[in-house]
Amino acid sequence: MDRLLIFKKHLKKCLLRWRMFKKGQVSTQFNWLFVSVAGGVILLFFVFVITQVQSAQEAKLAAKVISNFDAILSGSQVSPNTLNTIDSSAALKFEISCELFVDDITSELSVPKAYSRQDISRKVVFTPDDLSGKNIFIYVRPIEVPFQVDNAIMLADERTYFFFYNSSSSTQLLDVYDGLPNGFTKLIGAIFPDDLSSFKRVVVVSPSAPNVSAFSYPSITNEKVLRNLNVNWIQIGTLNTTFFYKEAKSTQYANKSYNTSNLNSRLHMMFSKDPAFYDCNVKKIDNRVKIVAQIYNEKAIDLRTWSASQPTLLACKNYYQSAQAQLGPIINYGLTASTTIATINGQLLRASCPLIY
Amino acid sequence: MKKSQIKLFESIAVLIIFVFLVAIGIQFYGNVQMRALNDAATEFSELSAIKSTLVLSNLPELACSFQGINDVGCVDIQKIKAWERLTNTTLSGYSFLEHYIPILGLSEVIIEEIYPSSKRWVIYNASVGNFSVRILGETRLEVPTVIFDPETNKNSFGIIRVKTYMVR
Repeated sequence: MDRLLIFKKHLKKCLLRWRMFKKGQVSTQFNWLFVSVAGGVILLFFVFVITQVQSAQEAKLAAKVISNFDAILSGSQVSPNTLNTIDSSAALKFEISCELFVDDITSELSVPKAYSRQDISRKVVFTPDDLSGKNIFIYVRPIEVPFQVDNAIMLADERTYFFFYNSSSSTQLLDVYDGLPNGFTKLIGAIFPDDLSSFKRVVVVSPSAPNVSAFSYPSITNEKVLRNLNVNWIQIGTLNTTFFYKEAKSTQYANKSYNTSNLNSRLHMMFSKDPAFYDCNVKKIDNRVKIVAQIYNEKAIDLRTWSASQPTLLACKNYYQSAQAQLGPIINYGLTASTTIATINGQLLRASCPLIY
Repeated sequence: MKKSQIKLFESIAVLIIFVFLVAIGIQFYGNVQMRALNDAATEFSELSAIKSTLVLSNLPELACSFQGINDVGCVDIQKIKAWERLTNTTLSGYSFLEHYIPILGLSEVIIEEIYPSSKRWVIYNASVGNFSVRILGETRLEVPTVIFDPETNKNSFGIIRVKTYMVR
């Protein structure tokens, strides 16, 4: 009996110990679970805050970069016949778009993968490619038709190569070569350089068209180096210009012809991604021409009225009338209007009359 | 049992205080960032005003010219008058002033002759009242200029006043 009692007591003790042990185990596990969940939530919270702050800082930086670059473009825009270089310690990257719609033009400056955009629909900007790199070149030339309507901004980065191919015999091509400042990477010759791998776009200016068979039969011509590059090929004719272009790895050129032999137009084509981009910026110029022509037309009306009341300047009145007749088509047709307004302005100068422009 | 409950409440209290401190820290950081953003917005606004003034004072529509060469720092009074008359006209479906909104934005531009006579022309006024925006501030810039009259062939002294609004 005693032994039985002792055994029963011992059994009870063991059972009690076992129950307490289980409770402790559960308590410990619960603690660990609690710590893991709470710690995980706190960690996730901080990761979320950090990513939000990081994206906000990137957006702020992108907006600042775009704003500053637009300020540089605005400053350059008022300084014609200049070449400026932006030297940056960090690699910059910009995208410039220009889209032509029926009634309007949309043109924006942006940074890749950023929300910030800057409207540049009133700036005439030509660029052969999206800009990237530590050096960006800004070349500005006036647009005169014949009165000045704006300044064209031509942008290129350090990875754009200008090659004047078989150009030594053509004076028009030599004019284009001289029209491009020495700050750009440019070369005149009969054979393409062997290694253009450090460039992403080659702009070729030549009296001849590109040889497409060069990509199929590399031994025929030295143009094979262009096979893997983005290429703008500007064929200079006596009275016209043809704009050929192709993307990297492509073996076909698309093209568009223009009835122009104007030096500025050819330079603008050299700095355009493709004919659509060039046409869009030409439309911007066209709008500017019409606006400025309106101003000069109103000025001609005022000067005509005023000269009619000046006995010594009665002869000027006819010149102002002729000027109005010339400015009317420019207001309606823009760049496509042919005009002798330059002659009339010269006549006003010789007659000591106040000039139209 | 009571001891473990106390321990549990202790842990929860520590967590609450920790969250409270983090919330204070985030609030403080947020205030600092808001102030920095407001400063950046002011800076952008001032830069925008400078850009507008720079472009405006060199616009071929206003600048003096001789045989196609534009003068810097000079505006032609005939062009100012022409601009005033054209302000309410349209061409190719959009108004004359609409052409300048991307350049001048929400701003007011006044050209004022101050010597020898006193005249004033409001050449651009994109009225803030037409847009449902809140004005946060304004930036004023004044640029001296010469005003040339082709009729009398004389120059006078003037100022171009540009007031740019910072809005949300």
